[in-house]
Amino acid sequence: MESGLTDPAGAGSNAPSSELNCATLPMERVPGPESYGRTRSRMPEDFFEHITRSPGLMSPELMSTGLPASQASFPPRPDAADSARHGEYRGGLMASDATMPLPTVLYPPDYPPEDTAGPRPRAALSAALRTNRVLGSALLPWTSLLLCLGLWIVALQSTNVASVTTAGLGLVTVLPITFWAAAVLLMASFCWTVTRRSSRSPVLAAHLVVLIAILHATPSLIYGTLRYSWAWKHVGIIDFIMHNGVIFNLGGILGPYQGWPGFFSLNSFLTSASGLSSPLSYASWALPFNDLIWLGPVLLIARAFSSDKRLVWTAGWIFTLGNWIGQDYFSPQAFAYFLYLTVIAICVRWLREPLSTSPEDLPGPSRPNRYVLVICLLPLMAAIASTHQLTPFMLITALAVLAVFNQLRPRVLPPAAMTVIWLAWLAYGARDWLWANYPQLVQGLGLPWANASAHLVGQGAVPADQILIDWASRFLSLGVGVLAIVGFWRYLHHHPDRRARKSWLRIALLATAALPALAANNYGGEIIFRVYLFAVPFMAVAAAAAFFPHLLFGRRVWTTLALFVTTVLLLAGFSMGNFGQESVNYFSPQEVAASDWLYQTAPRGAAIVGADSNFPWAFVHYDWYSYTFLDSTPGISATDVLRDPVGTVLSAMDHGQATAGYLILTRSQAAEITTTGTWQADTFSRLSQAALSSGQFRIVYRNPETLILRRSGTTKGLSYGPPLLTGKY
Amino acid sequence: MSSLYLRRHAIPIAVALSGWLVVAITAAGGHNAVRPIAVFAFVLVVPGMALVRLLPIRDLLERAVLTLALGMSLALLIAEGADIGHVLQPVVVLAVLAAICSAAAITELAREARKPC
Repeated sequence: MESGLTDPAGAGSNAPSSELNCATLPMERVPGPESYGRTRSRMPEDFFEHITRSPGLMSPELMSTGLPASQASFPPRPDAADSARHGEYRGGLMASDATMPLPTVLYPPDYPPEDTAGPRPRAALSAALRTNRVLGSALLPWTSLLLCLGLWIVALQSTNVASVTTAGLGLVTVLPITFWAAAVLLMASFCWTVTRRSSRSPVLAAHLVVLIAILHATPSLIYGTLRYSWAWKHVGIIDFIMHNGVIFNLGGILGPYQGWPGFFSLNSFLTSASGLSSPLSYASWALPFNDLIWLGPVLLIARAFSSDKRLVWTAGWIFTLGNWIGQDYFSPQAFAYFLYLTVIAICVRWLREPLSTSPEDLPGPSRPNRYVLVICLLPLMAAIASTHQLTPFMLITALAVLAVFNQLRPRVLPPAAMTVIWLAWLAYGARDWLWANYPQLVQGLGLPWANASAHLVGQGAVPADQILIDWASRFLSLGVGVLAIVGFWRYLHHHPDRRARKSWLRIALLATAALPALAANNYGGEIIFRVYLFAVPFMAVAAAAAFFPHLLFGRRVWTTLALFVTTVLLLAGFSMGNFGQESVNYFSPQEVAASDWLYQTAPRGAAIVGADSNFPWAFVHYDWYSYTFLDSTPGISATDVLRDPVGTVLSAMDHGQATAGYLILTRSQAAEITTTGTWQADTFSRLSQAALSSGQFRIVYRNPETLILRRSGTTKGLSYGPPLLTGKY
Repeated sequence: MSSLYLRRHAIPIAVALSGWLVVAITAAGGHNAVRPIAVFAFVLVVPGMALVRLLPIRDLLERAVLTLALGMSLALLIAEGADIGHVLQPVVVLAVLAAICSAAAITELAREARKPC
């Protein structure tokens, strides 16, 4: 057992195992003389002449010893900065890279021989200068990281968060120049660091951590309130489960969450075990936390295809910048996505066929140990099945695609296990909800184009800012896709080994595995975004190969510049896509205080009506109230609201059992209606004016950003309690 | 147990005991800063680590990812089972997790003991 799963690349090598990958050994190995035939045609003519004739490079003596590079006697390695000035091939091979089992050292032809005559003043000075230069270049990334953090902290302190509510481009307009300076400096620092041969993983990891902090912790730090209205709703579902447990046949608005309660159960347990009153205490930090934990399996996936750390870390970088969708908030899908990525990472790294039969290619895990690994994946699969509706489908298709194309060992067991677990959960936990919503589920079956374009709704005029954001997001997605295609092709073109190329096909299979979901359902108009979400980790790996298709390539300064320009463009796209709608996603303390008041005041059984659901809602006593949102309730159209706003609201409140009726109108609701163009421009203001002047309602709460009206004549059950939200809220 | 034994097997012993310590902190009740930190740290790290230590996986990143994924999945499944059964006592879930950790740690210690010196 020990021999089976121990990282195969680590055997016989002194290098840290984190740098190694058995899957890529044959891909990254410099071909020996016996295998020059295929590779040679793609290399400059003088390249192999240089290898074979230069003393100490790839001499027959060293080739015949079979010693690992670390044990062979080599001249000292040239300074990284020196070798970077030489061409693609001359500085390309990393002799000390433990992934290179053959003792291959390539030094530039003009690299001076080591002076063995003892120290001389000039040589000593040169050595001292070189030491200083190496030390300086090693410290430079850390220094730039500290500078980035300093600029970022200054930016956080100088951001006027109140202006987010009126900013057309959200945080893009509001964040000060120091924030963007920090971000661009970080891009430059990463691109410079990742292309340097001497860079080590800790400094690259630190870059990614700082990137995630800058991109995803910024809203948490400057807002002080929970971002996204859905996250508030999820807090409410956890509150319900904390007090009532899981009730599969509950139905109604809570039905789907009771059918897939995994994430909510976990958080209700964590909240109550911690002695907290609500997950609001930590839910704001879900964004950076999720982005950080997603990164781990993405890096593992990249390492399944290459041991070139430039490719691996660049894949993580592109993934973080390309994942603009905004599914990283406090949600079941974010949690299930992490498990999905982990299952795929284990499958592509361990549950595969050996890449080569040559003695140098260390064997993959033995058959019994693969089964042990599959058993380890079962809890993850069960957690996915009971947590989220879509993720099991995506995982089954991904595993099935790998199995069909013979890229999985054992071939049938993983997809079969996931399918059985999924069906078992559907039959046990989700049966009631599925039975009640069957027509809705099959509505979009076989209509991929209609499903993909289902998010394109809106009758009103969308502001120019939002059109800009929309196009920036599309270009970002398109850009990642184009980069992925280029990288996929470059990798295939530059890798002579047939098995390596065959293995690389898995990245294309996984990137396209989510596409069948387009033909299944529109998923509330979001399916196109979800397909992108499940494709982007693999597209990021392929996109990184556009810059670093092979260890021999990507050493020139042009690669660094191209990578820098690309990452800055990705940053621009990400900022527009993820930060651009913050007037919608951000809730001010006034809005939170109003919602707090509403749920503290409204009696059980009250009907709550809103223009839409974009406000802090349902975070407590989710099952006490009925909710009607005028923009999305079947049977209520924008025309109805425009023609008879008061009558429409009253009919929404009249369901016979309501103890009271509340109409809540907030600034964030208006922002969402404006940005999505759901209603015509003046519909929202006409609704509020008509309600105020009708005499049917009275104002019960008002602040600069929220208006709460209570229907006149409904007084029973009025109660006041202590504030629901404590602490910073 | 000798001090040498404790030093050599400090991690599995800590894994075996940490769960019960967190159970005790939670059962004692009260609201303090230590309790949430102890609960979150235990749930996110210890059950997954206890199981991953039984696997011959050496890669640090791979161990970290599996630790987190396995630990959270186990906690989720146990908490979900408790919620479905309407056992709304977090101490019960913590106790099951602590028992899993202890069992895994004992397995590891037994395996070590069987190894030839």
